[in-house]
Amino acid sequence: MKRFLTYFRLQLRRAARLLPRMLAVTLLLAVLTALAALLISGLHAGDEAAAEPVRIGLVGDLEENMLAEGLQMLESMDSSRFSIRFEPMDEAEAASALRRGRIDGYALIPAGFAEAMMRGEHRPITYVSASGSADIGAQMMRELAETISRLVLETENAVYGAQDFVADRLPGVDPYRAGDGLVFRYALRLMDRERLYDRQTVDPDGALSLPAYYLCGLSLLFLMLWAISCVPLFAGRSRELGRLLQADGLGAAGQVLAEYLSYVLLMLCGLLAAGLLAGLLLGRFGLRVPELEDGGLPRFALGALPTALMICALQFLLFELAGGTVGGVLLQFLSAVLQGYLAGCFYPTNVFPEGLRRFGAVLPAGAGMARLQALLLRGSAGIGAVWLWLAMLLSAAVLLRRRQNRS
Amino acid sequence: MEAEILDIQKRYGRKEVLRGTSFRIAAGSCLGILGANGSGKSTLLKILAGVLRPNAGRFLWQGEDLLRNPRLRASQVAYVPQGTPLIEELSARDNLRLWYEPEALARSLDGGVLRQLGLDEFLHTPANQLSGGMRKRLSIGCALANDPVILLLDEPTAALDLVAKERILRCFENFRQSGGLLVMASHDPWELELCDEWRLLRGGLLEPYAYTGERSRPIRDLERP
Repeated sequence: MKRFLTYFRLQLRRAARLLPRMLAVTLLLAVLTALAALLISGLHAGDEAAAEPVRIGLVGDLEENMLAEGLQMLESMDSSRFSIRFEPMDEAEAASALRRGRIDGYALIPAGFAEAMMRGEHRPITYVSASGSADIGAQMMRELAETISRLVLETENAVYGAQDFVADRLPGVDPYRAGDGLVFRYALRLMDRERLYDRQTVDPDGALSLPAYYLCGLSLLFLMLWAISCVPLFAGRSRELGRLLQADGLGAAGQVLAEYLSYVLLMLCGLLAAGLLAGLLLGRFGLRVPELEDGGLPRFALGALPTALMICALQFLLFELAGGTVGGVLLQFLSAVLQGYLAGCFYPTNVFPEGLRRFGAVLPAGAGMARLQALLLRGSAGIGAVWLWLAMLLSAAVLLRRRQNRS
Repeated sequence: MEAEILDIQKRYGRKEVLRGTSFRIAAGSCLGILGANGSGKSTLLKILAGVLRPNAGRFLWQGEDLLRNPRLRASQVAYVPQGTPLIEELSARDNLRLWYEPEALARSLDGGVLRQLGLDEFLHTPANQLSGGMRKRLSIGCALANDPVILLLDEPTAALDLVAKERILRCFENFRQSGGLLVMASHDPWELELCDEWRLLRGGLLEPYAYTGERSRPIRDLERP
């Protein structure tokens, strides 16, 4: 115990020597994170008109009466004219435009689409998008394309069905004129901008506000990238010293615990400084997180501590694995970016395929992100994955140190 | 009094590095171990220091097997490895604090072994700003913290200049004269001349070796199959 305390005290002294340099890097990182938060909030605060419209190519017979009218209507509607732009083109042109990223996708309308529908046949419109595009834009575009094709299809079915009804049941009425009348009334209702739709935003259960979501993501990313400022603490460690301490009675567990605790204390100093600076910056620029408005910030900060401890343990293990300075920096950076991506620090994870989403959720960063989100949603989070990861990562670090000491 | 090393065996996977190494060494003497690179000299010293576990063997001192009594071993045996077991960012004094009780440190600096090693010249300098010779002297100073009886040295003055070498070897000579027991893995003629007895480690076994000081002879002997 005496040797442990002496070693711990010396590790603290070591950490204290590194403190000024670490604080400088931490503050820089905090400023960058705060700027990222402001940028993200600024992007989402932009008005609808400023948003880039989704560009969709249309390939096929657009001369058909009903189809042309339907598309014209869509392009004229308030709700879609700022968000969708249709561009008629041939298939080769559309494929080339999609490859070059000039359009977001194109719809292939089969020949005789409208006549086939009148005969009761179903010839589906094919929507082509770029492969591997799993981001939110592509997801929304697919949804939009499906909605549009359904809208056109159902409208035309209704119009042609009404024409058949008029022809069968109302002998004195011209079915084509009746059909046209129906289309015009439909168009008038659709074009009635004031009553076209009423949009309400409701926060469903289990969903965070956007600022809260990015608070979690950026906090986690900050924690993971912060380790880079501590590389000298680990790169300068002597393996010979570890061996001698082990032979002298201070085993791998004692060594790891003393070094880890001093690292945690260093991190807490860094977090305090970074938190104050980021809070000042965000407060000055008026960025607000609704979930924290009733004085929830101290509760969130305290609740986030286990996540910080777990991320520290992860970084500690990575430094044990890497050894040198270059390897340490690279490994920490790759781990932060990859895990941050999979945990949803950059994009919400619901745009990922199911398998990737599940994989991301079980990683340390995923568990940390879930805890942070639970803290903001419910004000508390149960002990679970984060503590389990903390125990596993520290145990792995002890085993690795024991192996190094015995080599 | 003497230390007795009996049938030390060590395997790394299928590779048998030590195949039953045995020797005796009396208090107040120095044993030099020669051998080609990779012959197992460092492995043997690490086993005796308690850093590595042997597959078999005993290290007897005063009737106790030090390989099975870590507490006694830690109080009797000191080991100076090839590398530097130091906390680089901390001063020489802080490094010594890890191994010494405060009173013992003050005593040793006042007129003890740390004074002999000249550590008082750079006590407040961080280890990573010390020269190679100073770092080695500091490592030796750390190893001698518990007034050990047995000192294990792995090429202790390799790559040091003559002044640093001379100072360190004088410290070892004093240690031996005070009844200490030295086991030194070495290729260096200066170091080997300090020894009273030599062994050649070859094929995992220790052979008696008559070192004459003839510079080219150890090379020829190491090359012999």
